[in-house]
Amino acid sequence: MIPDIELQLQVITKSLKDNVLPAIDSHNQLAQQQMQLALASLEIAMNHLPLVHGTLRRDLSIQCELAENILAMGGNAQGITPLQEELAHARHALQDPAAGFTQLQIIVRALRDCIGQVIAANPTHTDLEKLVIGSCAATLSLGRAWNKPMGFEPDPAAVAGLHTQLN
Amino acid sequence: MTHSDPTLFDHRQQPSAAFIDTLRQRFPTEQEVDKVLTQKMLNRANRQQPYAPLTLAELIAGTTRLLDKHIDGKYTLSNPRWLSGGASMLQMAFDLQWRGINNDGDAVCTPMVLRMSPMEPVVETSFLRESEIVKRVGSLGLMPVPACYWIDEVGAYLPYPAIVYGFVNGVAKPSAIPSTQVTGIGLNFGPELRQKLAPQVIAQIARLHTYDASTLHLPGFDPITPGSSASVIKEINWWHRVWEEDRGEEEPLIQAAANWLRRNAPPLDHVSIIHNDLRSGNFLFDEDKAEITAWLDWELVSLGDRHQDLGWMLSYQFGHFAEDGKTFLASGLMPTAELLQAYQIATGLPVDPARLKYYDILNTWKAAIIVMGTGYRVAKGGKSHQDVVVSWLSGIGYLVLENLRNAMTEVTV
Repeated sequence: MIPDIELQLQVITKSLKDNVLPAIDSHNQLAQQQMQLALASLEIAMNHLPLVHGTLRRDLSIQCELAENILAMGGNAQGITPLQEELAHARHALQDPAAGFTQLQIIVRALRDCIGQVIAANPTHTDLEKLVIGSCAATLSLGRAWNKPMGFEPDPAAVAGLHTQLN
Repeated sequence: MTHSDPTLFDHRQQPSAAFIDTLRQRFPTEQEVDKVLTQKMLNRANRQQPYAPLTLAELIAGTTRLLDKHIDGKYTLSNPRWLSGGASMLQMAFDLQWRGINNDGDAVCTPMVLRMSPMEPVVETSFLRESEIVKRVGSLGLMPVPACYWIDEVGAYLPYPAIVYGFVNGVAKPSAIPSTQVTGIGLNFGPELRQKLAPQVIAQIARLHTYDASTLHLPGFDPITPGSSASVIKEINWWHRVWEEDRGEEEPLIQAAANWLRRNAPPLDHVSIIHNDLRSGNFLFDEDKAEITAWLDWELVSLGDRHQDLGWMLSYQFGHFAEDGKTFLASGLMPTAELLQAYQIATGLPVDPARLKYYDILNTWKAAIIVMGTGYRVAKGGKSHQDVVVSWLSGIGYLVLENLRNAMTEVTV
């Protein structure tokens, strides 16, 4: 569709950078800082647009694997049935080409919620703890790659980029 | 649940009384903390509109109402101006010409600072607790602190809760970049200045932590006794509740860490006043004299284990490597081992490596909750004056969580 979202973000960024930012009082620290951050956030969002769907699918896959491993482990029955149901929804979504990124986000958040509830219901299950600590390495790597453009990583080269992780 | 419905109700953005109550029951914490967090959620339920910028005139009007309540006699509020600050508070500096609270002193002009929450701050805290401790620390001479004058606990006079401090001269970092090059992200004072500041930091932190806070009986704090881990559990509940109130997305690691923290909560051997953000950057110093003039940012103050402050101060993100390229300087002041030894000598209290590790995990867990939980929620609701800053800062969350994961890996082998 015309104009597409990518074009809209591009022209917003250019307009703000070329015409609005120069007009802001250079002594107004708050306005200067917020405009710079707003522009940076827009550029990152624009660059992320092609990768959102793949990132969410990857995250959903990782959470599905964790959920399956949790179910295989056993433990307190509290929270297990909702987890099984959400896992089924998640697996279905991963097979569904019509699942857009908004829907994927809702589903992965629902699955994460259920995983969290099972963990909370098993406060002394140390094997479950170790499973979670091991499993989250992949999602944290994904999250760090997602936020790498923000400049917080002390050694950005040590974090594999999104393109690498999604391929 | 309809998974294809993009308008799925967000019960954290519009909390029901039942949701609020469930979390209160599930996470019992200190009375004043419970009060503050409950009010936060009630406000969130009742205020669906986003934060709108306030004018200086509105702040002046509210401050005047607050001063009218507390000052008996004539005064003049002059020279009001915005102060740029961090991502948390709105700040207005002003001068107060007055004769003291009872109007019976000499005519003086006192520079002051009003710090006010936005509609929802990145950290929801109690100005009552903050003012009680800052006044006590000041009166006992434990550390230099700003004079703390008045609070508007619930936003009765100002649009939102606020606190009025005396303005303190000084800088948080050197005005000129030190000529020596260092690596790392912590504050670099330069070799000459750090040599002068480090002993003061040690001495002042030692006085703070050595003071027996179990003798404090303040309305903002639950009683606390050494030998018990009950206060640690309450603190874990505080931040776990914040996570459940604010998060946009569950992180399994946060839940797993909460379980570990509860199981391993150490009893206190000595009850200290805990600043909870003790580090370089949170004290002001006179550059000419190289003297600390005030410790700031007391909003997270609690009573508990000194290792919580120590662990935070030693964190990687607040230090840097010295000019030799290999010696890590904790908070840009001293090598870690040297700092801990100096601290033990100054306090006469032991530093327990196991508790240092425990509180490193607790502090990292809290930091993740703040940036990824509350940071998300505040920006999502449009509830601050700096949503774009808050949202940006949430991007550090996965790095913080990775630090938590590494720390958890060490203790769960």
